[in-house]
Amino acid sequence: MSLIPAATDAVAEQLDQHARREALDVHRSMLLQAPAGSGKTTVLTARFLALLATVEEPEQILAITFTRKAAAEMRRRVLAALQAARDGTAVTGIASELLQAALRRDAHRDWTLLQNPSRLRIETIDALNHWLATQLPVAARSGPSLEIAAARSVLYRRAARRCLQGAAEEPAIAAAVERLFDRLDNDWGKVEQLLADMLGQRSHWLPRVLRAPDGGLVQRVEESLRSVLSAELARLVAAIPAALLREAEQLLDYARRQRPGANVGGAQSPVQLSAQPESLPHWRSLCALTLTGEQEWRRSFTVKDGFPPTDRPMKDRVQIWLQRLAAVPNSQPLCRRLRDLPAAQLEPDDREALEALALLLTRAAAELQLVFASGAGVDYPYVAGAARSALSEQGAPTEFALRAGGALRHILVDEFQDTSVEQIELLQALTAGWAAGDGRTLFVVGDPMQSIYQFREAEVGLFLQARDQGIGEIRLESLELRYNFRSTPPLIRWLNEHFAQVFPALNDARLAAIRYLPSLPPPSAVADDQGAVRLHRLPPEDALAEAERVVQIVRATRQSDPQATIAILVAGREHAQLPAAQLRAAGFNLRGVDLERLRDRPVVRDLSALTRALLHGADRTAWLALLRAPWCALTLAEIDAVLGDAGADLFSALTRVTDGSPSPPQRRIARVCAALMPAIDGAERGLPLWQRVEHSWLRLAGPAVHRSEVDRIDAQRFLDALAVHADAERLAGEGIDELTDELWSASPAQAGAIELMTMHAAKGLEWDVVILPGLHRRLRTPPDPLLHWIDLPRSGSGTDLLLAPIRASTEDSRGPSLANYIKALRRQRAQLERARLLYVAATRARRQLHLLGAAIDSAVSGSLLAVLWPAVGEEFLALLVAAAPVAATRQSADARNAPQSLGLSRLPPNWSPSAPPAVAAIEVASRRLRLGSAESADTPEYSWVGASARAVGTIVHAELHRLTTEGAAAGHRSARDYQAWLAELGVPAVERARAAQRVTQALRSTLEDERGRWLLSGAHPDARSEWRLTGVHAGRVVNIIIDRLLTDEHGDRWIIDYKTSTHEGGDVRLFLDSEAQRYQPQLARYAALVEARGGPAPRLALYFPLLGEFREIGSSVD
Amino acid sequence: MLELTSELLTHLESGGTLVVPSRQRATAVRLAHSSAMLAAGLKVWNSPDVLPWNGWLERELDAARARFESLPRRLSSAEEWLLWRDVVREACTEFGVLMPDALIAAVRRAVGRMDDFGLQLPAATSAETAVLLNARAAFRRRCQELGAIGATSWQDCVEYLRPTQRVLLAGFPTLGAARRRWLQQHGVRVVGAVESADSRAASVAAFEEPSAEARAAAQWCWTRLERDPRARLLLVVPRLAQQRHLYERALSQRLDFAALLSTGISAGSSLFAIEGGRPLSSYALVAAAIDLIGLLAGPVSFTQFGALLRSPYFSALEREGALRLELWLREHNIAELSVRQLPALIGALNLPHEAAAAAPLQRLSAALTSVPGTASADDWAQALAALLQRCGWPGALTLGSDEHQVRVRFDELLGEFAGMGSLPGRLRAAEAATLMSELAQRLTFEPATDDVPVTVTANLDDPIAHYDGIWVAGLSADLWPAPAQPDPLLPPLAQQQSGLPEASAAGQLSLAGQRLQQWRARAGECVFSWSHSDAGVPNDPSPLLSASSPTALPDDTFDLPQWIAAQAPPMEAWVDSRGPPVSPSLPLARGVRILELQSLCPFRGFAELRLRACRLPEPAPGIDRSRRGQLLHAALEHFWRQTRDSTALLSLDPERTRERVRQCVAQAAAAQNARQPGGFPAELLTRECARAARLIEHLLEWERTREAFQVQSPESRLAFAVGGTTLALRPDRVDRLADGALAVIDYKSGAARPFDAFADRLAQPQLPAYALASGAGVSAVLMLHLQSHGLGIRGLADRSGRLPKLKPPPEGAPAWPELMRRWAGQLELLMAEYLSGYAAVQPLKDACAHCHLRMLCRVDPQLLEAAELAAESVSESVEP
Ligand code: SF4
Repeated sequence: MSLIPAATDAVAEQLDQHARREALDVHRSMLLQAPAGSGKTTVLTARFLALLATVEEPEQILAITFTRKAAAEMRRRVLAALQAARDGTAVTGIASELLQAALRRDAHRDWTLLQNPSRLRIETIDALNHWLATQLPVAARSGPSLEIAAARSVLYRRAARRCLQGAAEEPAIAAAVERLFDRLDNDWGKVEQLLADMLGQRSHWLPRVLRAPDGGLVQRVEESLRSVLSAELARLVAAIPAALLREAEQLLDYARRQRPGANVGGAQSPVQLSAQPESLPHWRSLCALTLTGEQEWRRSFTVKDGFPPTDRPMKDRVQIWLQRLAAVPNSQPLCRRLRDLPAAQLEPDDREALEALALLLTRAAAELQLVFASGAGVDYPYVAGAARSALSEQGAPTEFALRAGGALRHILVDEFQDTSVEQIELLQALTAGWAAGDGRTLFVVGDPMQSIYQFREAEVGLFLQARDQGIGEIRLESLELRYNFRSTPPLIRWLNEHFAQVFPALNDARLAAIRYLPSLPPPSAVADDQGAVRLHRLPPEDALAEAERVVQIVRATRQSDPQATIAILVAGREHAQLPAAQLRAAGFNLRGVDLERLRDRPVVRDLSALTRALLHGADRTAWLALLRAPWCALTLAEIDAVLGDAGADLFSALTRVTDGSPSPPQRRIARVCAALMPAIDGAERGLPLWQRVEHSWLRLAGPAVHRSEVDRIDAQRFLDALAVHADAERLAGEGIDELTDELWSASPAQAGAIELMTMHAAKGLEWDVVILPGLHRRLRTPPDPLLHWIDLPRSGSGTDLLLAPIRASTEDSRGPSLANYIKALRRQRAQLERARLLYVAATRARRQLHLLGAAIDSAVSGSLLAVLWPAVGEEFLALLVAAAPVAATRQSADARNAPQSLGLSRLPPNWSPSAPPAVAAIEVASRRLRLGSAESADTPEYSWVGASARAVGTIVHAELHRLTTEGAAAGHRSARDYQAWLAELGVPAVERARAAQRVTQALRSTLEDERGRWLLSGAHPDARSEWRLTGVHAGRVVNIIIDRLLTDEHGDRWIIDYKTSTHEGGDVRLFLDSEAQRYQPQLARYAALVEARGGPAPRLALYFPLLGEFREIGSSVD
Repeated sequence: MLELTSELLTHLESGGTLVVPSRQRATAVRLAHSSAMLAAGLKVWNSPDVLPWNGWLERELDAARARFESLPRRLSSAEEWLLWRDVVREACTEFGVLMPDALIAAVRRAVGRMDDFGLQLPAATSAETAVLLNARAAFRRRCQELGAIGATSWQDCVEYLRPTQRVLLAGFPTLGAARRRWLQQHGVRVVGAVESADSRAASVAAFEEPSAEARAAAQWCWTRLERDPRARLLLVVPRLAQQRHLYERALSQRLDFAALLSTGISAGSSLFAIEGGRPLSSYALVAAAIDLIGLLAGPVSFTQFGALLRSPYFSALEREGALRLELWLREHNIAELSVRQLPALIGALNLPHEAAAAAPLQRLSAALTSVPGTASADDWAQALAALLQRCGWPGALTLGSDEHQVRVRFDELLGEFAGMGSLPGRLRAAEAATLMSELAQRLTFEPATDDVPVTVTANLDDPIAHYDGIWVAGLSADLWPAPAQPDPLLPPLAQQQSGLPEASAAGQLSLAGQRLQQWRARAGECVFSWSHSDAGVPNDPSPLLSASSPTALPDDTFDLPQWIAAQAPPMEAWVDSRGPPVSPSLPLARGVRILELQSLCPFRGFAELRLRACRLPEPAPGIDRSRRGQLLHAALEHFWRQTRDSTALLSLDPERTRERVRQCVAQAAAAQNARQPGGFPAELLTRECARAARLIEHLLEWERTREAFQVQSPESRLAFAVGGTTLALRPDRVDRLADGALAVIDYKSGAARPFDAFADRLAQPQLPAYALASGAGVSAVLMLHLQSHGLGIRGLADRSGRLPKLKPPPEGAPAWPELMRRWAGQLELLMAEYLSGYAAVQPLKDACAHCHLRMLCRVDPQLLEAAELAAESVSESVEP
């Protein structure tokens, strides 16, 4: 049966064709609703091409996608279309005129897009923000390099801690912190974590908190509260007939007067049940009068309720009135809801708490900025904020925004249903200054029925708002696609029939409620009447039965169609574990996407143990784990014997154990020690942590223990996480788990594998057969945040902002409160989103959909089955419950109490991997030109304390060189010059005068010294100064600088090296001897090179300008 | 073998100077020159004069000293950075920039570009240009005041330079028009871009993802070197900053595996080198020094201090002592430390058994307290050097070649710091420490390597030298050509007009083409590669590769992990669920905890109690959970010592009750505070006292509703004979009830958990143990969970109504004496298990959820999760 009459189909067909046509009109701004399978990417690509044919530069078009993958795919589609146009081939769904026009434009404007595809601006919102912020580092108040930190939660925590620790310095903050600790049981860890969590979500609350003027936040919340209450009460007023309300007023008034102790407080205002928030207490009285504590209609009225037994007529009257009220449709839920409405005004304590919390949160956000400023990296909200700062200043667009917006002529936005307030603001800023009809267009595409990112503050109401009111100044024409090209007609029919009952009847932006828009099979679709959708009813409380059923479905599918693609989609990761285990056990090839925590994988546990051991020499758990791991596999008795009495330094203890003649376990320990030694005390200790870990892992033969492809990838992921985490070296113990917080094990893609993933991850994908297990499981609700908030769009403009601090741990969690009200609203929205999540999951199927759940007589509330219940409940209960699995299967999966130690495994104790052939490596190494290291080999160790001596040496050398070229007559320079020079060379100011004096003294004594003048003389034949030579010495290529080479009057060649060392006290002769000995190898090397150039062997000498000493040294070559 | 064009070779041989863009290029040219000389049969030759641009400028300025009477002095790089930092910060003030320091490099780069391209910006047109121009003007002003010049702007040096015709520039593909003009005016020749005629064909290779690409590149290097060990290869990786670890991994595993698998890789032995360097502060040796110096900058977190203690670079912190100290600080939850706090900690550590831990702290404290209060940069450099020396930095082990170079560079940096003289003025300890660490952070350092067969670089410029093979990775469509990247501080239009190639798409396209050509021309064999996807994002090849021929590389890519796995024999199964029995001669510490752990999971019992595999506590601010619990326990003990029975309790009016509770809490808190080294922050303790008092008052409300009782001596020790041994137990409280029966009470802080008295394996065996230890009269056992939102009461009594709010025993439950017998049997068994060394991995449900031993016990996660899920679904479906 189809709910959509044929006439509607025809209209829908027309709507679809109209939409596809209009979407190519490059002069109009539009909003396109594109349900699952409707081929929206083709429409987007076509529009992009159409726009290309009209713009001056391709950069004038900006397309924003939800993920990087989507951006890459859209770019590919555009380029493929251009390529096809060039090749003269057709592209499905895109007219060839469109392709040709774009190609002509490309040629005409000489864009060479196929050569330069990065000119196509197709990017994610994050990339766009990054571009904006880095283009305007000053206006964005950020700085030019915005690197996203790898472990952002660590930064949030750091900022939260700084905020709490620094609170004492400012009384207002201290008071706010005090209040918070009071509320949260003085639990620092909890306060810090909640504060950190808030920082992670600050893009949602911070702008709202900051926007309120000083002290205006409470006012803003109270205003919103009134507006919200008016809306709630108006709903009641509209639902309950006026006559009943008037009667209620009289009855309440009567009851008030009759109740024991009435009139004590004097005259009271008349009872009025209106939409005014002031009437809330009267509504509450109404509620108390009509409902029992169990939220059921009251059956009798007593004096406590204000109806004494003596006044029979009034008792009858109230009974009759209640019967009439009960007959009003929906009246009971409305009255129940009334109970939970918060008061219109915040209690003084709540006000103070809210203000204090707002202050504290703002401070924490400021601390986070400082953490970012310290160079630890930033997060996405920061970049988005920086981009916003670049684009608008106090709400008005900046000059850059106008420029950037001006440079843009067309913006396309995909997945618009998951947009957030911040993203809308960005679009508004970019389109500020655009006017209708000026040729610039905004084109947004999305499917509000697939909006499933509320937890990231996606606000589907914005889609509706954009459709009805436009974005900023831009009005959007609304278009709808209706064809579903993906699923078979029976499946489409089923979806239409059932989801129409599951989705709300009306759109409601405040509730984030979206009504269902049915799809149509395209005219070309082939009718296929095979059972498209199957419900499976499972025995309750039996997860194993469900997993078994999944296996059966997969088996049956594989038998009937071996090529069919199959996916199992779950709402929560934990729901996938058992089906995965059973499918694997049944021998199916499985590919799980982000389902298992990386840190729980055995390979990562071993790597973690190794990392922890390297990081902390006394981390016993880690060290013991190393010894217990399969590469060493010590028994508990052996471990006890080895480390029972060890001190803190476990590595040394282990090394000591292996001294002497080793027993087999000692040999294994020795192997572990040898594997770790380079990373702890050897050649590798200065390497980055990830390398120390990986190399030790290889030396331990870790890959022999964990051999699968998944293990290899997981190991790499772990090591990569170590590599990118800036602070990894400082962590220890369980702290390293932080690194893998958000990481999941990744099975490699394999052809024909059954895919298992969450429904969220499945968005945008499709399979022939889709199986949805675990629909009866209650979905988790997130823990309470420090600040509850919700920002409800108001009809017209503006929003109602509700904020409430977390309840005190001592407070009763029930009863009406603003916090509870906000939570209830969020629950309601979550419930609506669940329907959409189910829609997303169901529409992934091309041919078959299997829905699995368990229920006794109704669905568990908070589950997906409960969402689907109105549509399938009856059918579901009519099904036979699937048989429970046999005992043998059960036993294998239910082995809780069998000791598992029986299952240990180890590498054979005497095995170790042989090294790969290394002959070639040795040869490569031996033939290397070893350049430059010879010089440093015998350079005396340098320490900065000697910087001044070194600088003196440098200057004296340079000056002696100058004097040889300019002649001794040139003389030395002024002390001032030398001081400036010394300053350049980093000599501390206090030492400069002395050092300059030493330079002058060295030069002066050289000039005064006969030997010195001889050295500098220009009269020597073949003389050289500062002679740079390169040559082969002892099998290596070395560079040398010879201070002075000359041939004396006897024809002897001399190599003389200047040494600016001094010597105070003691025997100068001894000093010179030792210096001669020290520098002999260096000079011998010089001699060897000089000799290699031909000519007689040179004589060698050192000259000490400061001592005026000349010392010849023996020329024997080392 | 590296080779040079004959033009360059002739130029160098004739004594000409060759200027190249970077130090790395200069090294490559020198190597190529050496190769040529060796090939020509020479043993020695004049060193070629090859300099990077900045080195050449410096030398020219040195030479100018001879020509100029007074030459402005050149700023050291530290000074120059400091000056720029100050002027950029100042210029940013009016714009409220959060991270002005992040702009320093950008400003300097923009100033360089202005010079190079002759960009004239008469007035600021945006906040960005305003910052640029203001900073530049301020920098020049400061330089003038100091009589100095910096190296950022070559135009500032122009008047002192006299380049000659003997100078040749090579490898500058994007040389700006102004610089080119100036060079031409002085007759300096610039070797132009490679002509397309010079280029050979390249092959193109595609891979699944970047790590496969890196492995293939490594394999390619290996094969080339096997064929010709003298080959010199260049790997160009444009995204090296992000992919460095991929290449380090692939190359070390392929080229250096022999060293890797034996003694570890050291700088001298590696067959490859990665160009580019990293911040000096990121080298472990320097990071340790900076951590130490950082103690002068104010309180540091335990994380930082702990890392310092575990560092191998301080010989004064002998390892055993330093580790003991580290553990002691963890156990005492010292989350933050300051120099001022050290004496108090030393005082607290002043116990004979802590001597090993105290020694390093004493040395540290002595070294840290010997630095001056305020001093000049010169003096600070001396003081910091002395501080490091006192702590035995850089350790007792011999430094490797890289470490040695890093150390020397750090020493030089201290020299530069000293040389800043008056620029930073007189500095307080915190300022000096911060400045030094900033300097180390911003200084990029790369240890010099010997000639290596394989060089990895991110530098896309002309290699100048000719390599035997060049492999360029990552040439995907999104990166090659790169999108336009205009300088954010310069007006976009001006950039485009002056021909800054990065500023426009056309410029990037031509640059990309030119580079491909240049690599082809500079290599005997050239490979261009790309990956189909990166982090799940699909990629296409650069469109510029279409002209090159696709190649099928052999897919025998070597992967060391796979190679190890492939030769591994099958794993052996083995059994080990029992350690050695407990020696009867040793006393049993930890009392009831033995039973608890053994019951939760025998392995855990063995590991924690016998092998001491305890969790490493992570210090955090606040009072930790166990100390909060101790405070409550102690306060309650005080209270019941004063208030012995229900009569005494009921005789107290609310005010006096409150007062007594307050006193008892204060007394407990004072003792707790005295035990904490340095004490707790006052406000924290006050709050904690208020909380404890509140919880106790809640409890007393319940106590008041009880029938008459008398508290036996609270927290007294009981001997419990079990399993042939005796445990010393200390129940929180035993009450004698009106009928003479006893009730055993255990206080708990935290969420209430159900007490399953009838389980086969008891999750909370302490209650039965206390009951059995207390003798025959016990008729109730209960846990009182003291929680802020109300008292949680769990337990069991022999009959209903014995204690208010305690649930009656379930129907069909065994009679009390029978239950006690059963408990006795269970505890006997548990104890026997423990004594026998039984240590099977056999956890109770949920036991693993918060257990730290997963890596040690090797429990199968799948099995657990599946079982937990099954259990969860049971509890879910019974909910309404
Ligand atoms: S993780 Fe579980 S199995 Fe392992 S020791 Fe802890 S409790 Fe036992």
